[in-house]
Parts: sequence; structure tokens; C-alpha cells
Amino acid sequence: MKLSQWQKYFTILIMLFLFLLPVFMHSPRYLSLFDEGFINIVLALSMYSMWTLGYVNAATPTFFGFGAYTLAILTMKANLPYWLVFPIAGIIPATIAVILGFQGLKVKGTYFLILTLAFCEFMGWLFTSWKSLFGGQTGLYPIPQPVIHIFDHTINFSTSLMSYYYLSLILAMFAALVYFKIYRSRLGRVWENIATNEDLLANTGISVFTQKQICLTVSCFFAGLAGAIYAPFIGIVTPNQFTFWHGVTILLGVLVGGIFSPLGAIIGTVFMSVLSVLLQRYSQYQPLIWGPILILTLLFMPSGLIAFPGKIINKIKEVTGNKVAQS
Amino acid sequence: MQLQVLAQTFVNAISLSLIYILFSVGLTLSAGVFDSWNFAFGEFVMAAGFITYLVTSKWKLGYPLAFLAAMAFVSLLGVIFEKTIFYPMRNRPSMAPSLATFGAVGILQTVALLIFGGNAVGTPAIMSGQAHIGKIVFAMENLPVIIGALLMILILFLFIQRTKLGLAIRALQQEPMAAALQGMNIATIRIIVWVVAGCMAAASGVLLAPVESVFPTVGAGLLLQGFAIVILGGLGSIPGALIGGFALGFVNSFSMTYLGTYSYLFAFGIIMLVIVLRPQGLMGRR
Repeated sequence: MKLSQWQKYFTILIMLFLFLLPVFMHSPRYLSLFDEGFINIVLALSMYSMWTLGYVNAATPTFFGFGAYTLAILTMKANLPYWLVFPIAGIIPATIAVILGFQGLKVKGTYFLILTLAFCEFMGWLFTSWKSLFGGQTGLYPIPQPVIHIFDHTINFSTSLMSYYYLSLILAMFAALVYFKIYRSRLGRVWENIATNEDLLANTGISVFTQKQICLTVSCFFAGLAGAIYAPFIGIVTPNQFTFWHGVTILLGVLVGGIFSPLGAIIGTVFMSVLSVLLQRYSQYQPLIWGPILILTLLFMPSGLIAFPGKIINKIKEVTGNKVAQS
Repeated sequence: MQLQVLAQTFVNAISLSLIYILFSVGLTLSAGVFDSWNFAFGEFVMAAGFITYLVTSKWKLGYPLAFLAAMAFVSLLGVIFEKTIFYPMRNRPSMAPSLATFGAVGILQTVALLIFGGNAVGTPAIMSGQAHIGKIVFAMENLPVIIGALLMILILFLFIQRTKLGLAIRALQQEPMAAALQGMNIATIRIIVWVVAGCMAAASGVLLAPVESVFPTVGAGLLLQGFAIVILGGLGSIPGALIGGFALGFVNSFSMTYLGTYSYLFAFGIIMLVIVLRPQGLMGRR
């Protein structure tokens, strides 16, 4: 799948728009909403890539949490600078993912879902119980804010939401770029076919298990980096931010958007973010809205929002084609 | 004193195990027949618990009626699940209905939150007082739980092993295609499975309510234990659920008394170990 000319221009236009947006939009509320949206897009891409293998990683929020906790612990307790810890906050979740995947990826489908769900609950319990390291129910705070020195200028992230906007935007774009590149390469085609016919793929000489490991590791690496931005942005990490339900809402975004392209994951996440902003006043009762959306999507729209334009075009072609055939 | 604690923990362990078994027997039965997992099974227990609260604490009508009301309601819930989620998606990958039940979990928990609020509610004990055996004192509240659960498990066992309908359910679990070719009405049998599994969940909810408290998210913790039991015992195996239930009930009960709460650790440990070492479970054949 190659990008056509107009698709390229459109992508560049959207990127430009997103980069210039904070110049016109100063409202802290909207800036932080965009920031959370970008972080969710990274998590959705990570969830999506596991989905292409036929897995649902219910522990995505946990790996997100590993990133956030790594950052909080290393900057608060070891006093390391933020930019040194930032890559470590991706590497540690990726390492844990390798260890978990070494045995966990041997099972298929729903068993992996149950395994990761149990892992998520277990880590939630550990975050709460291991008070000396993870701070217990009250969590870790205040998390030191990153600072950038460019020549004599100093950008302090604590005073400007805009810097968080750009930081998370860059991470989201980087993750999107990596995943689009992967899904347009041979690696992506292998991943997409693992869910369809794993045995056939193994017979062509591809080590399916290694591919699964790579996919899990990359997705957890990005989830960890997202956590490393999220932690100082919110200013506190507590076990309640990384529950399994956060993962379900992200998965819902992926399913609503469409499961045949990384673009679907992005569109679905944008949709869910807009929805949650609209329903912000009733945040406690939001499951009443997204519960039915999840069920109805799975029932009637298994290929997601992204398939709609294609379906409409096909319908038009069908109708006009019939007319031609009749006349 | 040491002996007293040990004996009471032992009795608690038995009643906790039996509640776990009731729950996981229903879970393993439905997961075995439908080939996909119902993540809202914990919420069935929650619903039964709240109905028990309404019938016994609010309206003061006694436990027998609570039993019937809870079973009727949870069975109805199960039939709704079958009609809206599981039957329409029966030909899809087994993951699809499982994911859809997450939506149902969200809906049921939020409805419970709207109606009953987030606080835990309790129900009166079925039987109060204490029994003295030698020097050891037992709380009587566990006795009806043990008797009721044993009775329900016995009825289910006889139903599955001795009746024609039970045979049909076992056949459907082993080979759906062959069962259909024998002229079974699969749609009806599936609904019966939902009712049976729902009754088991309802019974565990009614028996759990007086021993522990009921709150909207009570099902989540129970569900994880149920998964550990079913995976330990093997999918679809009722004897496996018995063994797994006793194992987890005793481990959790004793660790609660002597170590503090480590129930998540054990559940996760069991799920991880069994999936890695023996994916078909202790009693599973597949």
C-alpha cells in the first residue's frame, strides 16, 4: 500500500496544523486534552500492533505504568536528569515484556488476554502493596519537571503546557511513523498474517515466536515512553491510573476506528477522546455509553469506522454499475 | 488459641472454596460450551448479591425467596447475553464475544453504581450464634454456606452426569458439529447452559452476601480467582473446578490469616504456571 499524492499532502497538512495549533490555542484545558490524546494514540498503536497478531494485551496500561513509575522513581529517588531517564523508561517495560512474553506468548487468543489481565491485576496489587518503592495507594509525587537548556534559553516544563504538547506530539508522530513503516514493510506483512495462519507462516521458515516477541517488545517500549511523558505531565503516579479499564477504553478506540490499519487505531482514539470530552461531566457513568458502543461495534461494525468510505464507494459503484448493466 | 485460629481458618477455607467452586463450575461450563470466556460472570455474582440485599435486608422476605429471585434474575441476564452477544457472534473468532462482555461488565457495574451507590452493603447472617466442639468455637454463619453450596454442586453434578439434557450439554461441549448432526436443538441447549451457569453464579452470590459485603466491583476480584481455578482445573472440567476451587480457597484463606492478603499473587502465579507448564489444566483432556 503506497501513499498516493493527495494522501501525502494531506498528511503533511495535518502535521503542519498540529504543529502550529498551540500558537493560536492557549487554553490550558484544550492543550492538556490534546496531550492526553497524543499519549492515548501511542497506547492505541501499541494495542493495535498486538491485535494484528491476534492478541489483546490487557496489560498495556501496566507497561504504560512501568514507564511512569520508572521515571518517577529514578528522577525522585536517584535524582537523575529527566532526559537520561526518558529512554530508560522505555527500555525497562520492554525488558519486562521480553521476560513475560518468553512464556506468555506460547498461548493463543483469549488465554493471553486472561494472562495479561491477571498480570495487570497482580501489578496493580504490587504497586499498592510495595509502599517503600511504589509509594502505595497515595503514589509518588511531586515528580520533577523536565527542563531544556538551549544556549541561554531555559524552557521549564512546569510553567508551559505547550512544551508537553510538543513532547507528546513528537512521540505520537514518531510512534505512528515507526508503525506505518513497519506495516508497509515485510515485517508488517508477517505480523498481519500471524493471526490468519500461524502454521503456514512457520512452514515458510519464519520464526513466528521471534516475530511475536519483537512485536510485544516494540509495543511495550512505546507504552513505556508514553508513561514517561504522562508522569511529569500529571505530576503524580498512583496505581489507580494504570488499571485494566484504561486498557479497555484504548482497545475500544482501536476497535471503533478499524483493525486493518494503524490509521484506524488513530482515528478511533481521536473519536474516543472527543466522546470522553463531550461526556466529561458524567465521567463516572461513561461505561454506560462505551459499553454499548463496544458491543455494537463488535456486532455490526467489525471492520470499524475506517471501512466506511470504502463501503460507500463500493455501494455507489454497485448502484451505478447496475444501471449501466440495465441500460 | 493457636488451635482456635487454625480451626476457624480451616472452616473459612472450606466455605470460601465452596463459593469459589460454585462460581467456577458455572464459568467453566459456559466457557467450555461457548468456546469463549464470559468476563461478566463476576457481575452475575454481584447482581445476585444485590438482589439478596434487596430481598433480605430491605424487604425482609428471607433467604429462600432471595435464592429464587437471584436465580431467576441472573438466568434472565444470561439469556439476554446469549441473545445479544453470544448467539449473534457464534461464528466469529472466539475472542469477539469475550471482548463484547467487557462492555457488559462496564454497563452492569455502572447500573449497580447508579442504583445502590458505591458503598459496600451487607446482608443479615443466615444463621447466627456459635457452636462449641471441645474447646474450639465455630461461628455458625459458615454452616448454611457449606450445606447450600454442597447441595447445589451435587444437584449440578447429577444433572450433568445422569440426565439426558446433561449428556446433551457434554456432547455440545466436546463436538458442536457432531451434536448438531444428531438432531439436537443447539439454540435451546445453549440457553439451558446459560440458565444452569446463571443459577450457579446466583447461588454463589447469595451465599457470598452474608459472609462478605456486596459492592459494584465485587465481581472483578472473584473473576480472577475463577479464571485461576478454571485454568488450573482445565477448561470445561467440573472435577477440575472442584480441585482448583479447594486449592485456591485454602491457599487464599490461610494466606489471609497468616500472611496478609496475597490472593492476587497466588491467582496470577497459578494462571502463569499452568498456562506455561500444562495449558490443558490438571484434569483437561484437550
